[in-house]
Amino acid sequence: MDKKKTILIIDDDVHIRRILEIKIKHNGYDTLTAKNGKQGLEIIQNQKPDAVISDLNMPRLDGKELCLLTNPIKKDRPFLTIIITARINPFEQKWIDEMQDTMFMEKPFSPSKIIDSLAKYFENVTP
Amino acid sequence: MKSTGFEEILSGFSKISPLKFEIWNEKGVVGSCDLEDPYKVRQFLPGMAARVYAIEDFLHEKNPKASELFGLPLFNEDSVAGVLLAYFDSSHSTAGKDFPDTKDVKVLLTKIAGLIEERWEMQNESDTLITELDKSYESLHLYSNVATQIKTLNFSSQMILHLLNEIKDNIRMDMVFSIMPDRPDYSEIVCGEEINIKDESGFVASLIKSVENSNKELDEGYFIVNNSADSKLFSKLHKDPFRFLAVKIVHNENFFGWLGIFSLNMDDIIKRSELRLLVSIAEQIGVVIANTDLYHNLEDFGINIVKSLIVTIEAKDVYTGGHSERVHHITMLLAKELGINEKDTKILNWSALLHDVGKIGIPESILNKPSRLDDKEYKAIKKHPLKGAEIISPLEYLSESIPGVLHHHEAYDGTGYPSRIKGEQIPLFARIISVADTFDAITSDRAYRKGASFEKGYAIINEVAGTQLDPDLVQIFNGIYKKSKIWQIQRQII
Repeated sequence: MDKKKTILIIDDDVHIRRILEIKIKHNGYDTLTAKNGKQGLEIIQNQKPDAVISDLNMPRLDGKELCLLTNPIKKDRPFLTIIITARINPFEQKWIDEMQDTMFMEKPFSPSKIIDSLAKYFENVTP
Repeated sequence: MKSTGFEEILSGFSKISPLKFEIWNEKGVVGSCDLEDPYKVRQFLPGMAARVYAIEDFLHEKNPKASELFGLPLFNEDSVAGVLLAYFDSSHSTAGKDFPDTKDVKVLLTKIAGLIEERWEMQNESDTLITELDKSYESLHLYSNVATQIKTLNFSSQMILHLLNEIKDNIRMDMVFSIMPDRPDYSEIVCGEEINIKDESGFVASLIKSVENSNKELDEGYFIVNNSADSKLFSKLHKDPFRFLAVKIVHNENFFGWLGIFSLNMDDIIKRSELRLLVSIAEQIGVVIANTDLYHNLEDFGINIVKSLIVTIEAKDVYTGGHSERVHHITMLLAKELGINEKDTKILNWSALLHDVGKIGIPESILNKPSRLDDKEYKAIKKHPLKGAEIISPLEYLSESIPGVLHHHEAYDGTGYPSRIKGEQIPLFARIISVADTFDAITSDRAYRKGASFEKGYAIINEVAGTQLDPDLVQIFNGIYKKSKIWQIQRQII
């Protein structure tokens, strides 16, 4: 049987962390949480989650900086990053397109769409 | 059964007291404390658990081995979700230690059970809250999507389709539809995979017809059927029972149609929150459609103004009367020959009609000057493509027609105006208009000269192919000139 996939949730808002955590657990994944990008980066490096869901605007290392720092890791160990942000502008879209396995969701996000995206991603990467 | 979160605490109790605690559900032990069982007392626990389940009350038993067994049911939402068991192995007792008093054990067990039940209750509450929160997030997401679309002035069938899909996924319906009798563009149906209806639009039409025939007052603007089996009218529409909701799409007393959701899942009913969501989405759709209508009216108004501008410019320039229409006519012949699609032909149509609209800003004294123009006057004339583009730029509907207007005086070799671009850099539509414009300019009368014959015009066009005009387009023009009788048609227009 497949090992449960682990999803890291990074958001400075405790309620958003909680709702995502519960929703994602309900759908059969394990979760890890971090309050800011810095904490998130450490978890990505040490605990190797299978996907990361992160807010864009955060204290101490925002979502974009986090992507820039983790993108090189993805070459050897690909994982999905979902950036949650307010309205996306073309400038924002550009850097997201340049990242590997990275997508964005607009706020207010739909929890079920996040689940769909995770499922789709894992379906495609599992041989 | 839910986890109690008390397993560790009970295990700790077991270690320091003569009583051992366990939590069971129907299937067996879930919260075990001490599976070491030297005196074989645990074999009595399954029966004990079953009996507590059955009587739903405190139970105290002595078993043949003289062990004391206690059991208390654990309630979760008014039904027994597990039992708390405690046992005391009498053979284990050492001298001086008496059996605990039954009453004391009961009090202790009741307290522990109370804590476990309280914890479950909180978990239930928190689960409910989170489910609600999750739903609100979905609704908020859907609603913000709708709100974004409302800002647009050009509502399209694609947007309706997108919206219906969002609703379908959001509130997990088997079918979502919008039906607007007078607006087939906005009438769409989206279905989930489970649904198996061959003629979807026929089915939706019959649903709506039944709503309208149901004789119910629809003051509220919606109609709910929570179980079609309960209704003679609706049960015959589909072999399986279904539930559905239809909400009127109205704006300022104008009825546009219906927005509806349909589901074959009878385990649920149409919720108040879903009704509210659908009602507000329908309201917004009403606003968007009304806005789109107003916008189109405004566009039509704008286009009519532009048309009257053409008439004005024709009137201003007495010698070129009918020029815009003749250029338009030849352009359309070229477009047909080139196999340009319908949408692009429409764009080209407006470019051709409006190519000289910028002349409105040029003094009549220059336009109608009976002698050659001096440099200053020629400079003024050369501004008309840019002025034309400026005039039509506020009209979004005509935005794609601007390049044709702006560049119709560019030359193929790059010596034209205003941008001095050459060859393929010149938009195709501008190159097409240029051919038509040149031919008509040569063959029609001007302020300072009489128009040349069509034969002469044809010859000159071919002379400037490659320098002023796109040679390929001139070839196409030649084909038309030879087979159709442009000059005859031209004469009719004149």
